Amino acid sequence: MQRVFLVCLLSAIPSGVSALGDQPEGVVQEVNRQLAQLLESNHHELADRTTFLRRASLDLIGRIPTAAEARAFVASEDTETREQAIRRLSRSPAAAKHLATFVRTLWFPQTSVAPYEYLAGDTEAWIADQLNHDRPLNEIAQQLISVSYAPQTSEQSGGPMGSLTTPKTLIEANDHRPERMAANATSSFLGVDLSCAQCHDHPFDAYSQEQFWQTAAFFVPKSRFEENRPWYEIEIKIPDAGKSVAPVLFTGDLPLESESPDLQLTSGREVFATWVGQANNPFFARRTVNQLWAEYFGAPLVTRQPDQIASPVREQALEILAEAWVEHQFDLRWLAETIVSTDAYQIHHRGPATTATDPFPYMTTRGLTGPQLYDSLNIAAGKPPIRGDLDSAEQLHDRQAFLEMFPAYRSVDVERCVTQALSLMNGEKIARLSDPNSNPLVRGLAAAPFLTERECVESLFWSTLNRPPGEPDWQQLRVAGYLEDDPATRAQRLGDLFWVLVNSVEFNTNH
Amino acid sequence: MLQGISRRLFGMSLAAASSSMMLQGSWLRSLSAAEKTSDTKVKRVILLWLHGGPATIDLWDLKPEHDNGGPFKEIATKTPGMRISEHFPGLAKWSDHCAIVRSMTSREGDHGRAVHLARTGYIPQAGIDFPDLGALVAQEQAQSEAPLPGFISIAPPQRPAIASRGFLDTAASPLVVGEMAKSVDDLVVRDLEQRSPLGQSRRVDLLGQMNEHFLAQGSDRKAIELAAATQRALRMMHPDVVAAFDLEREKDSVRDRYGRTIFGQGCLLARRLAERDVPFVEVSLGGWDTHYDNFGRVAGLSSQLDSGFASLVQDLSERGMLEETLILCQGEFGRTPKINANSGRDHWPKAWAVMAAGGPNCHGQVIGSTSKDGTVVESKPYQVPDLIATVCASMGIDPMKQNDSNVNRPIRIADPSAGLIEELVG
Repeated sequence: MQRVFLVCLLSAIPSGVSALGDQPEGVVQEVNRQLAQLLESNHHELADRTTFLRRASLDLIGRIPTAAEARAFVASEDTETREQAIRRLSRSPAAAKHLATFVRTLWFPQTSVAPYEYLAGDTEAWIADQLNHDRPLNEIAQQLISVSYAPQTSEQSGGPMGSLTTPKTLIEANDHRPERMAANATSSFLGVDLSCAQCHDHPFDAYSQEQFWQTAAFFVPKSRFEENRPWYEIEIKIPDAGKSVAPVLFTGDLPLESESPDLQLTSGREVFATWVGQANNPFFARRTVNQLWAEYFGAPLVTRQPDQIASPVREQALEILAEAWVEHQFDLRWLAETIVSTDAYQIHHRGPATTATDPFPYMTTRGLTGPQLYDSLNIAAGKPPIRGDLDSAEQLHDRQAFLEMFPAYRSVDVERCVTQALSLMNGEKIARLSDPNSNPLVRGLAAAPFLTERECVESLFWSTLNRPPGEPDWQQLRVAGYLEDDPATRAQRLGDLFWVLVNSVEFNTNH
Repeated sequence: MLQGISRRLFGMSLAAASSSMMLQGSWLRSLSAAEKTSDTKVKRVILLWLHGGPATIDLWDLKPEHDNGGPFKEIATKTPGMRISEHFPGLAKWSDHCAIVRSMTSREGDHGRAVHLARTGYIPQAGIDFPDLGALVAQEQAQSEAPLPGFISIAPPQRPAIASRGFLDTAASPLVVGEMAKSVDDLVVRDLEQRSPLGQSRRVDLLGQMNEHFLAQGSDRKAIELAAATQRALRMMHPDVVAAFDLEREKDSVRDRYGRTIFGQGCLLARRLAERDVPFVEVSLGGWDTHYDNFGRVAGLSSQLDSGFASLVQDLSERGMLEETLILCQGEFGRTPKINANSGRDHWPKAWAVMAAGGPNCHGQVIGSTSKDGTVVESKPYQVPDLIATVCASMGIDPMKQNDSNVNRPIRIADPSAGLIEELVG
């Protein structure tokens, strides 16, 4: 076992995946083919262009399109393809920022809540910076796991690019405790839950208490008296067990032998990080792909719950995507592009409601996360998106207060309770945005006498729902008195309509 | 009865049936108890949550004969044999509607874990998001069209540390009133009042129509949930419902009687919500983590507790609601009988007490006992799951009912090991 591991460490790419070819299109087609086997019983026409752009924008850059973007995309049917739109969105800096939020909450979910939320900003900014420089995600993971305890100078901070300091999130968000770092790293980076084994052996658990502490041993820091001590000799005490253990991977392999000085790894965390980031690590790629899929579909491709219906097709789809992603050097933006390019993603799904047992990974309606909702509200009101590096402290505070009220960062976690619904209807943020004086869009429309009422209403629909009103909408608007031609009350009327539109289920979901 | 059981077993899978056989002990106990229960059921629960671990040895189970007892005196109550701290003169007058369980015991001495246990009935388990008792009750008892949520939490110490719906539906979420309240004025529901009432009805009508149209096009769970949350919020915005939270509508003399503290006014608010049939309301009183100056602090806290608690019992009794309202008063554990060097007491989960009032079955019982020095339970040891099961059973909720959890594994309302506190079920 030990030898096998060493061999794998040194060979970056596993064999046997080249059949997929190098083109992302090849992978998309292969996944499509796999999923198509289950498509027959469902609707599978593609969503129209307006729906597609809104969905992809929310998923790739974390906000709805502007009215102008939406109108232009629909009008450009012959010039801009969906593939081009996906590429344009996913290669933008906003995409890196949005993916950074995904990565941070995937790896360090505890940084979304007290007392570790102070780490969120720096961690996300650093990850976004790395992604913007096309750094592979496995290298980003390696660096976050192996980051030194010692203070850093700016030269050694961001690896080959970037000037930001590598955040010590793993260390600080786990109170410097090896056992907590181990549990965090295995569950977050690899999707393996070892923590149940921390206190005792559980009869139904795959891992033993000893295995848990052997993993924890990788995370024991060396004291300054131990500088020359090799990592594999550092031990950790199992509480109440009367013994200590040295680092061993929970897979049963011993990662490295003492006589492999060429790798020059000094801390246990570096060794563990190297293993996590290896191309043949059986967990890392699958974990990331599965969770990004969950982000875009509301549920992961594969779960480990005992009563989940076995779905070989889902398993296969996950395998194909994971292998192809490894082949594409863990490029997270490529992965996002690929998933969004599948038929499964682009399908028109608003047919009969699906049930939990439906085997097809059918896109379900997802609620907007806190950041998606905040940024989309501002875009809808004609305001520029908030940017951490450009905006005033006041704006950042406004965003922070909003995120505390809508704390979900992952689309799978979005739920809406009555308190949040109240805030959306009566809260200060929406009141300001519905006030014609502080909503640039409404103010502009109200001050444009050359626009008809219908044109104003149409603009509001494009800005909020990214589509023109349909016949039923017009009828409802007419009955409700929103089409009166009274210039004196136009501003108030449009402010009210804005309130209605942003409170609607349609605005609050990605569908 | 028997027919019911066999039919039930018959319908289960083999595995489920055999695991249910293993639980037979507690099943039979709850069944026999259910037969004994009087016709009156508890319709609602008010939990007075003493955050931080109250020194129950200085509240409900004094040890005046022992060094561990501290300086507080015991007073007699209306009920012979039920003696409580001198700082509860108000409650002493209502002892015939109270019951003290002096024999609670658990193993969790860490605040986080013990709060989790005391509020959910389960010790924390990685990845499982257990719901609070309040959410469990709301899930079972709340009417879907009720104007108010089924679980309202008044002045909780900090979200999300406590008050959570766990893996239950969003409808079981607590409505938080006065989160981290610093004064009585903070006891408000955030954003409940409409900012522009004039345009409101026109807006609301159109919103309703748009949502209806959107859902009619083919919708799934998430969309329906979002629309339902909006509907619930709209129902709450009705002026009659908003008025429930307006303490200014109470006479000054009543407000004074409850005490002009956050807790006192919280109890008054709890009564107003009980009058509107909210199935589970909790009012928190923090500050019980008395490692230092235990006696000075407990005296002050006790007097706040006394005026709020006793006034609540009095008002419910006057309104004929006491029999159908169960008031539970507890924290996460007790405190060390031995007084430490800072005249404080430390954490003590091994033996602690819960006070209950109201409902059909509280009539002056003192249940269980601790040793002379207060360190261990001597008779009738009860655990948190027993208490949870008892509360549920008294409301007609089957404590062994299973809910779908976030880990796709059914989890029973009360831990399968739970029995009933027989003295509290009639």
